[in-house]
Amino acid sequence: MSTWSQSSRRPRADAALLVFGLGVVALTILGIGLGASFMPPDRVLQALLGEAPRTDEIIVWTLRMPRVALALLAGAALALAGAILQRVTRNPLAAPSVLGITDGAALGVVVFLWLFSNESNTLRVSIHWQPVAAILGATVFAVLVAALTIADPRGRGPLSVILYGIALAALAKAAVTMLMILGPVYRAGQAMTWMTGTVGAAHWSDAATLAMALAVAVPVLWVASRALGQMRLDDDSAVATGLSLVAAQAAFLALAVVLTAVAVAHAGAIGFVGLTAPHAARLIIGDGGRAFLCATALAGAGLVLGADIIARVIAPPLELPAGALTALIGAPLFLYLLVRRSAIHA
Amino acid sequence: MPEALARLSDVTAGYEGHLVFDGLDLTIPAGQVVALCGPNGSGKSTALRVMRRLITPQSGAVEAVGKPLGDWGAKDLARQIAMLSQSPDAPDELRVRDLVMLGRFPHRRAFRGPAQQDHDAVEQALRRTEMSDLGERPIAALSGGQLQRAWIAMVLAQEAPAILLDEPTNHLDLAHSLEILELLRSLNREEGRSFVVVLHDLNMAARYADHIVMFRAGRVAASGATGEVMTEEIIARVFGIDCSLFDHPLLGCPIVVPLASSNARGP
Repeated sequence: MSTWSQSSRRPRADAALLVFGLGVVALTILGIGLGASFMPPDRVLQALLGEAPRTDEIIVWTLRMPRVALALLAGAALALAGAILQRVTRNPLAAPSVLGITDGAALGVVVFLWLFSNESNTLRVSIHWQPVAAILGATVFAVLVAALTIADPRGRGPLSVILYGIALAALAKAAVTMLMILGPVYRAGQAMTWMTGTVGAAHWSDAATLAMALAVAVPVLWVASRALGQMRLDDDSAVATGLSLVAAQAAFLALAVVLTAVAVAHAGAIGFVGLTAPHAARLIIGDGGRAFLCATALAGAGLVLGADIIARVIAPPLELPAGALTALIGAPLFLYLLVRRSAIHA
Repeated sequence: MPEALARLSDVTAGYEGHLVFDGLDLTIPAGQVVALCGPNGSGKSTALRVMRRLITPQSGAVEAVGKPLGDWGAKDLARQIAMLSQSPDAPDELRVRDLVMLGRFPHRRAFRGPAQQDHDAVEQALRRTEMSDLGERPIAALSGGQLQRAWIAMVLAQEAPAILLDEPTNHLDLAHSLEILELLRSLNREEGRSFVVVLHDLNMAARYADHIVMFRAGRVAASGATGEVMTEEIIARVFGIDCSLFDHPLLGCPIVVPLASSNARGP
């Protein structure tokens, strides 16, 4: 009697996760297949399984896979960051790009490149510091948004955190644009990455760093998922049921900042993934628990990879930045949520 | 269990910009149904929030269940004292049974799904509040009374020996209000659980509370057994109204009939 209700819901969640997973696999095969010459799925699979001719293996593993892997990993990281932020702020409009964290991370990277490059556009320090710079930039903007919201004299309405975030995101974006234009000419070539986000220039090292960040963040999230679920309650009820709310909020905010920053350090300021993916997962699988987090990560991975695929095929030989397409999907969703929200409160 | 559930000594507390009370002394007896009464803004809810450590006093000492409040760990305190605040909130799509399971947070073991005793506590809380049939409903699809009972079920599932409730009958009609207060009293009599309840309806307080604390303007105007505190003089002083008090012929508890606001009379 006590368990039937839960077991009756689980098959649906499992089926939905399976569909999400298969979708990501299909997109992966398609993403690898696309390129200077199209490679059909059977040849992609053979190459992935190590049974293809040497040339196919080089094309798949050296040339095309890094881009696909980076898209998948950056999408998963941004989506998880979005799911965390929506919980911590108890606000369905929250996301790394909405709260200025994405653009803060991009600004951190651009400032880093500006400070540590010499005249010939070569970094004077190791490139491995780039994610650290992104984390610093993201942290500064996350802390600013949090501080402004907490200090808001008119109380912490559900929209104030969003408004402060949007204002600071605009500020960071403007600063990135200024540094692009005022910096040396060669910098303009990177403008697409730091303003819109793209996975076009991916190397295995990019995917590897992001994979390492996820390898740390995902187990933490797995262990702490119950505390995250408890944050569905209002602040008073969460504390009254035994959650150390302020500590939990700070820890989860830090986790979201790191996930966002490492993704941005390698794939640029891809926006609206963290907003869209959790809503897609919530729609299909319902809110709560680890199944929801898995679905969110898969949805984010599929979203960025799908956006990159469309960006490559829509106007060849031109390549659009993947971030432009995620924003094209995400911004209308943001508007819809905003309109529906005010309708509820009216 | 210690004699006092909570003891506030010389406590000053409030919110940004204004103090609710300045130097409050208050002792809440354990093992009883205690009602906190008084006009709006007199400090009832703030006293409750201080006791449950939802706000930190600016000065003074608070003791809960025999220990300084600050010495309790978050989950340890939650296993001792549960609380339902005035306007609790959760996502619309959350199902009743999942909401009630959130009350098990301080009991659940790390890295595991709900244990049998968690499921049992949830089902018992649902039964007690007559919500068993609605366990699968999203909370947005509940009526006001059902929603309030779902939240009360969550608080009961926490299985704390002491439960604080801030206006639990607020959204309930007369029948459901009576049911909830009957439920609290039977849990008190049968299981010895302590209740501290903010109540606006003096007749409900008179009927169900063993002990009443009357607040007025951030001070305790009266505190004692229900029969001692429910007098025409005290009610007149606390609420600024004239009233008549009768003993109910069957129940034996006092009934308050307000006559007029003393402020409304001419000079």
